[in-house]
Amino acid sequence: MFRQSIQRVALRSQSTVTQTAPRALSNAHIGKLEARWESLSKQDQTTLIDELKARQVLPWSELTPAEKKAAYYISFGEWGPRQPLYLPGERAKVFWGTVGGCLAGIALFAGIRSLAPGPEPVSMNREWQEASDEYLKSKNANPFTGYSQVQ
Amino acid sequence: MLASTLRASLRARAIPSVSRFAGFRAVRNYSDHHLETFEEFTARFEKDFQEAPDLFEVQRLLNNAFAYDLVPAPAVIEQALLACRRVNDYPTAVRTFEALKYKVENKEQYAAYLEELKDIRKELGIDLKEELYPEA
Repeated sequence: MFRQSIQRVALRSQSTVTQTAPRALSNAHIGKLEARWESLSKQDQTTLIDELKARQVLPWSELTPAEKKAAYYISFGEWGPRQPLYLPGERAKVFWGTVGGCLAGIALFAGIRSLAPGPEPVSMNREWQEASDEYLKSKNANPFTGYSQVQ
Repeated sequence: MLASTLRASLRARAIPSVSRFAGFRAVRNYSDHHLETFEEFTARFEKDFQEAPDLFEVQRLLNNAFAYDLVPAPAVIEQALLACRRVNDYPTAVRTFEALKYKVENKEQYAAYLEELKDIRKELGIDLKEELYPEA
Protein backbone atom coordinates (compact mmCIF):
# COMPACT_ATOMS: atom_id res chain seq x y z
CA MET A 1 0.00 0.00 0.00
CA PHE A 2 2.88 2.28 0.88
CA ARG A 3 4.45 1.49 -2.46
CA GLN A 4 1.24 2.28 -4.23
CA SER A 5 1.03 5.70 -2.65
CA ILE A 6 4.64 6.39 -3.61
CA GLN A 7 3.80 5.46 -7.16
CA ARG A 8 0.85 7.78 -7.10
CA VAL A 9 2.98 10.65 -5.83
CA ALA A 10 5.59 9.96 -8.50
CA LEU A 11 2.93 9.92 -11.16
CA ARG A 12 1.50 13.20 -9.93
CA SER A 13 4.89 14.89 -9.90
CA GLN A 14 5.38 13.91 -13.54
CA SER A 15 1.99 14.99 -14.75
CA THR A 16 1.78 18.40 -16.36
CA VAL A 17 -1.73 19.11 -15.15
CA THR A 18 -1.30 19.16 -11.39
CA GLN A 19 2.05 20.83 -11.03
CA THR A 20 2.38 22.51 -7.67
CA ALA A 21 5.13 24.94 -8.68
CA PRO A 22 3.86 26.99 -11.62
CA ARG A 23 6.18 27.55 -14.53
CA ALA A 24 7.55 30.89 -15.48
CA LEU A 25 5.02 33.00 -17.32
CA SER A 26 6.05 33.70 -20.88
CA ASN A 27 7.31 37.11 -21.91
CA ALA A 28 4.56 37.40 -24.49
CA HIS A 29 2.01 36.90 -21.72
CA ILE A 30 3.30 39.51 -19.27
CA GLY A 31 5.80 41.61 -21.21
CA LYS A 32 5.02 45.26 -22.03
CA LEU A 33 2.20 45.20 -19.52
CA GLU A 34 2.38 48.99 -19.10
CA ALA A 35 0.97 49.48 -22.58
CA ARG A 36 -2.02 47.19 -22.32
CA TRP A 37 -2.85 46.57 -18.64
CA GLU A 38 -5.75 48.99 -18.47
CA SER A 39 -7.31 47.71 -21.69
CA LEU A 40 -7.38 44.13 -20.39
CA SER A 41 -10.72 42.80 -19.25
CA LYS A 42 -11.37 42.51 -15.52
CA GLN A 43 -11.26 38.74 -15.80
CA ASP A 44 -7.89 38.74 -17.57
CA GLN A 45 -6.49 41.09 -14.95
CA THR A 46 -7.64 38.82 -12.13
CA THR A 47 -6.17 35.77 -13.87
CA LEU A 48 -2.85 37.53 -14.35
CA ILE A 49 -2.76 38.67 -10.73
CA ASP A 50 -3.47 35.13 -9.53
CA GLU A 51 -0.79 33.64 -11.79
CA LEU A 52 1.78 36.15 -10.55
CA LYS A 53 0.74 35.51 -6.96
CA ALA A 54 1.33 31.81 -7.45
CA ARG A 55 4.77 32.55 -8.89
CA GLN A 56 5.71 34.80 -5.97
CA VAL A 57 5.39 31.91 -3.54
CA LEU A 58 8.64 30.57 -5.03
CA PRO A 59 12.03 31.99 -4.09
CA TRP A 60 12.11 35.41 -5.69
CA SER A 61 15.45 34.83 -7.36
CA GLU A 62 13.65 32.35 -9.63
CA LEU A 63 11.29 34.99 -11.00
CA THR A 64 12.06 36.28 -14.47
CA PRO A 65 12.68 40.03 -14.93
CA ALA A 66 9.44 40.30 -16.89
CA GLU A 67 7.50 38.75 -14.03
CA LYS A 68 9.08 41.10 -11.52
CA LYS A 69 8.27 44.12 -13.63
CA ALA A 70 4.72 42.95 -14.22
CA ALA A 71 4.15 42.31 -10.50
CA TYR A 72 5.60 45.70 -9.59
CA TYR A 73 3.55 47.45 -12.26
CA ILE A 74 0.30 45.84 -11.12
CA SER A 75 0.94 46.77 -7.48
CA PHE A 76 2.56 50.20 -7.74
CA GLY A 77 2.56 51.17 -11.41
CA GLU A 78 1.15 54.41 -12.77
CA TRP A 79 -2.40 53.33 -13.50
CA GLY A 80 -5.73 53.80 -11.81
CA PRO A 81 -5.34 55.95 -8.69
CA ARG A 82 -1.55 56.22 -9.22
CA GLN A 83 -1.91 57.70 -12.67
CA PRO A 84 -0.01 61.01 -12.79
CA LEU A 85 -2.09 64.17 -13.08
CA TYR A 86 -0.42 65.12 -16.35
CA LEU A 87 0.87 62.60 -18.85
CA PRO A 88 4.14 63.53 -20.58
CA GLY A 89 3.51 66.32 -23.09
CA GLU A 90 0.27 67.43 -21.50
CA ARG A 91 1.83 70.33 -19.59
CA ALA A 92 3.19 71.80 -22.84
CA LYS A 93 -0.22 71.33 -24.43
CA VAL A 94 -1.91 73.25 -21.60
CA PHE A 95 0.71 76.04 -21.74
CA TRP A 96 0.53 76.57 -25.49
CA GLY A 97 -3.24 76.30 -25.46
CA THR A 98 -3.40 79.14 -22.92
CA VAL A 99 -0.93 81.29 -24.87
CA GLY A 100 -2.86 80.63 -28.09
CA GLY A 101 -6.14 81.58 -26.39
CA CYS A 102 -4.67 84.89 -25.14
CA LEU A 103 -3.32 85.75 -28.59
CA ALA A 104 -6.65 84.89 -30.22
CA GLY A 105 -8.41 87.17 -27.72
CA ILE A 106 -6.05 90.08 -28.48
CA ALA A 107 -6.48 89.55 -32.22
CA LEU A 108 -10.27 89.47 -31.87
CA PHE A 109 -10.22 92.70 -29.83
CA ALA A 110 -7.96 94.51 -32.33
CA GLY A 111 -10.04 93.24 -35.24
CA ILE A 112 -13.31 94.48 -33.80
CA ARG A 113 -11.72 97.85 -32.92
CA SER A 114 -10.47 98.26 -36.46
CA LEU A 115 -14.02 97.71 -37.73
CA ALA A 116 -15.45 100.52 -35.56
CA PRO A 117 -17.18 103.08 -37.85
CA GLY A 118 -17.33 106.90 -37.76
CA PRO A 119 -15.54 109.61 -35.75
CA GLU A 120 -14.66 109.43 -32.06
CA PRO A 121 -17.14 110.85 -29.54
CA VAL A 122 -16.91 114.63 -28.89
CA SER A 123 -15.72 114.04 -25.33
CA MET A 124 -12.54 112.40 -26.65
CA ASN A 125 -10.96 115.64 -27.93
CA ARG A 126 -8.45 117.64 -25.92
CA GLU A 127 -10.56 120.82 -25.49
CA TRP A 128 -13.51 118.97 -24.08
CA GLN A 129 -11.33 117.15 -21.55
CA GLU A 130 -9.60 120.35 -20.43
CA ALA A 131 -12.99 122.02 -20.00
CA SER A 132 -14.01 119.05 -17.85
CA ASP A 133 -10.91 119.61 -15.72
CA GLU A 134 -11.82 123.29 -15.26
CA TYR A 135 -15.29 122.38 -14.14
CA LEU A 136 -14.06 119.72 -11.70
CA LYS A 137 -11.51 122.18 -10.29
CA SER A 138 -14.28 124.71 -9.64
CA LYS A 139 -16.12 122.03 -7.66
CA ASN A 140 -12.98 121.02 -5.64
CA ALA A 141 -13.29 117.50 -6.96
CA ASN A 142 -11.21 114.67 -5.49
CA PRO A 143 -8.18 116.39 -3.94
CA PHE A 144 -6.55 113.08 -3.01
CA THR A 145 -5.90 111.16 -6.20
CA GLY A 146 -6.58 113.86 -8.77
CA TYR A 147 -9.45 114.32 -11.21
CA SER A 148 -7.76 114.89 -14.56
CA GLN A 149 -9.91 113.78 -17.50
CA VAL A 150 -7.17 114.31 -20.09
CA GLN A 151 -6.35 111.06 -21.87
CA MET B 1 -3.17 86.61 80.74
CA LEU B 2 -6.11 86.85 78.39
CA ALA B 3 -3.78 87.98 75.63
CA SER B 4 -1.46 85.03 76.15
CA THR B 5 -4.30 82.47 76.00
CA LEU B 6 -5.59 84.09 72.81
CA ARG B 7 -2.16 83.93 71.23
CA ALA B 8 -1.80 80.29 72.27
CA SER B 9 -5.19 79.35 70.78
CA LEU B 10 -4.34 81.16 67.51
CA ARG B 11 -1.05 79.34 67.25
CA ALA B 12 -2.82 76.03 67.90
CA ARG B 13 -5.28 76.79 65.06
CA ALA B 14 -2.58 77.91 62.66
CA ILE B 15 -0.64 74.66 62.74
CA PRO B 16 -3.30 72.26 61.38
CA SER B 17 -4.24 74.74 58.63
CA VAL B 18 -0.68 74.64 57.31
CA SER B 19 -0.63 70.86 57.32
CA ARG B 20 -3.97 70.78 55.46
CA PHE B 21 -2.62 72.80 52.52
CA ALA B 22 0.56 70.78 52.34
CA GLY B 23 -1.52 68.06 50.60
CA PHE B 24 -2.12 70.21 47.48
CA ARG B 25 0.63 69.82 44.97
CA ALA B 26 0.72 69.92 41.20
CA VAL B 27 -1.17 66.83 40.09
CA ARG B 28 -2.27 67.88 36.60
CA ASN B 29 0.80 67.00 34.60
CA TYR B 30 -1.08 66.65 31.35
CA SER B 31 2.02 67.05 29.19
CA ASP B 32 4.05 64.64 31.25
CA HIS B 33 4.12 61.46 29.21
CA HIS B 34 6.88 59.28 27.99
CA LEU B 35 8.42 60.09 24.59
CA GLU B 36 9.37 57.02 22.59
CA THR B 37 13.09 56.73 21.94
CA PHE B 38 14.58 55.52 18.66
CA GLU B 39 15.46 52.15 20.24
CA GLU B 40 11.93 51.67 21.50
CA PHE B 41 10.59 52.58 18.06
CA THR B 42 12.88 50.04 16.46
CA ALA B 43 11.91 47.32 18.93
CA ARG B 44 8.20 48.06 18.50
CA PHE B 45 8.25 47.89 14.72
CA GLU B 46 10.50 44.83 14.64
CA LYS B 47 7.98 43.05 16.82
CA ASP B 48 5.01 44.28 14.80
CA PHE B 49 6.55 43.18 11.51
CA GLN B 50 7.31 39.76 12.95
CA GLU B 51 3.69 39.36 13.99
CA ALA B 52 2.09 40.82 10.85
CA PRO B 53 -0.41 38.25 9.58
CA ASP B 54 -1.18 39.49 6.06
CA LEU B 55 -0.20 41.84 3.26
CA PHE B 56 -2.56 44.58 4.40
CA GLU B 57 -0.97 44.68 7.84
CA VAL B 58 2.57 44.68 6.38
CA GLN B 59 1.73 47.60 4.11
CA ARG B 60 -0.02 49.44 6.94
CA LEU B 61 3.04 49.00 9.17
CA LEU B 62 5.32 50.18 6.38
CA ASN B 63 3.19 53.29 5.96
CA ASN B 64 3.40 53.94 9.69
CA ALA B 65 7.11 53.21 10.01
CA PHE B 66 7.94 55.63 7.20
CA ALA B 67 5.57 58.31 8.49
CA TYR B 68 7.81 59.33 11.41
CA ASP B 69 10.42 62.06 11.37
CA LEU B 70 13.20 59.48 11.26
CA VAL B 71 14.54 56.83 8.92
CA PRO B 72 13.74 53.35 10.28
CA ALA B 73 16.79 51.40 11.41
CA PRO B 74 18.14 48.63 9.12
CA ALA B 75 16.83 46.08 11.62
CA VAL B 76 13.28 47.34 11.02
CA ILE B 77 13.72 47.26 7.25
CA GLU B 78 15.06 43.74 7.51
CA GLN B 79 12.03 42.58 9.46
CA ALA B 80 9.80 44.36 6.95
CA LEU B 81 11.46 42.49 4.08
CA LEU B 82 11.08 39.21 5.91
CA ALA B 83 7.42 40.03 6.47
CA CYS B 84 7.04 40.70 2.73
CA ARG B 85 8.61 37.33 2.09
CA ARG B 86 6.25 35.67 4.55
CA VAL B 87 3.16 37.08 2.84
CA ASN B 88 4.76 36.33 -0.58
CA ASP B 89 4.53 39.83 -2.00
CA TYR B 90 7.50 40.81 -4.12
CA PRO B 91 6.39 44.33 -5.18
CA THR B 92 6.06 45.50 -1.57
CA ALA B 93 9.66 44.48 -0.92
CA VAL B 94 10.78 46.55 -3.92
CA ARG B 95 8.61 49.39 -2.72
CA THR B 96 10.26 49.31 0.71
CA PHE B 97 13.61 50.17 -0.85
CA GLU B 98 11.94 52.84 -2.97
CA ALA B 99 10.46 54.37 0.19
CA LEU B 100 13.88 54.24 1.84
CA LYS B 101 15.37 56.10 -1.10
CA TYR B 102 12.89 58.94 -0.63
CA LYS B 103 13.16 58.93 3.16
CA VAL B 104 16.94 59.28 3.55
CA GLU B 105 18.59 62.68 3.32
CA ASN B 106 21.15 62.02 0.62
CA LYS B 107 22.55 59.42 -1.75
CA GLU B 108 25.35 58.42 0.62
CA GLN B 109 22.86 57.41 3.29
CA TYR B 110 20.90 55.37 0.74
CA ALA B 111 24.09 53.66 -0.35
CA ALA B 112 24.93 52.94 3.29
CA TYR B 113 21.51 51.38 3.84
CA LEU B 114 21.91 49.26 0.70
CA GLU B 115 25.33 48.12 1.91
CA GLU B 116 23.89 47.23 5.31
CA LEU B 117 20.95 45.32 3.78
CA LYS B 118 22.99 43.71 1.00
CA ASP B 119 22.90 40.21 2.46
CA ILE B 120 19.17 39.97 3.01
CA ARG B 121 18.51 41.53 -0.38
CA LYS B 122 20.63 38.87 -2.01
CA GLU B 123 19.12 36.12 0.09
CA LEU B 124 15.54 37.05 -0.80
CA GLY B 125 16.37 38.05 -4.38
CA ILE B 126 14.92 41.55 -4.23
CA ASP B 127 15.74 43.95 -7.04
CA LEU B 128 15.63 47.70 -6.67
CA LYS B 129 13.25 49.75 -8.75
CA GLU B 130 16.29 51.30 -10.43
CA GLU B 131 17.32 47.81 -11.53
CA LEU B 132 13.86 46.89 -12.79
CA TYR B 133 13.39 50.15 -14.70
CA PRO B 134 16.89 51.38 -15.55
CA GLU B 135 15.65 54.05 -17.97
CA ALA B 136 13.26 55.80 -15.58
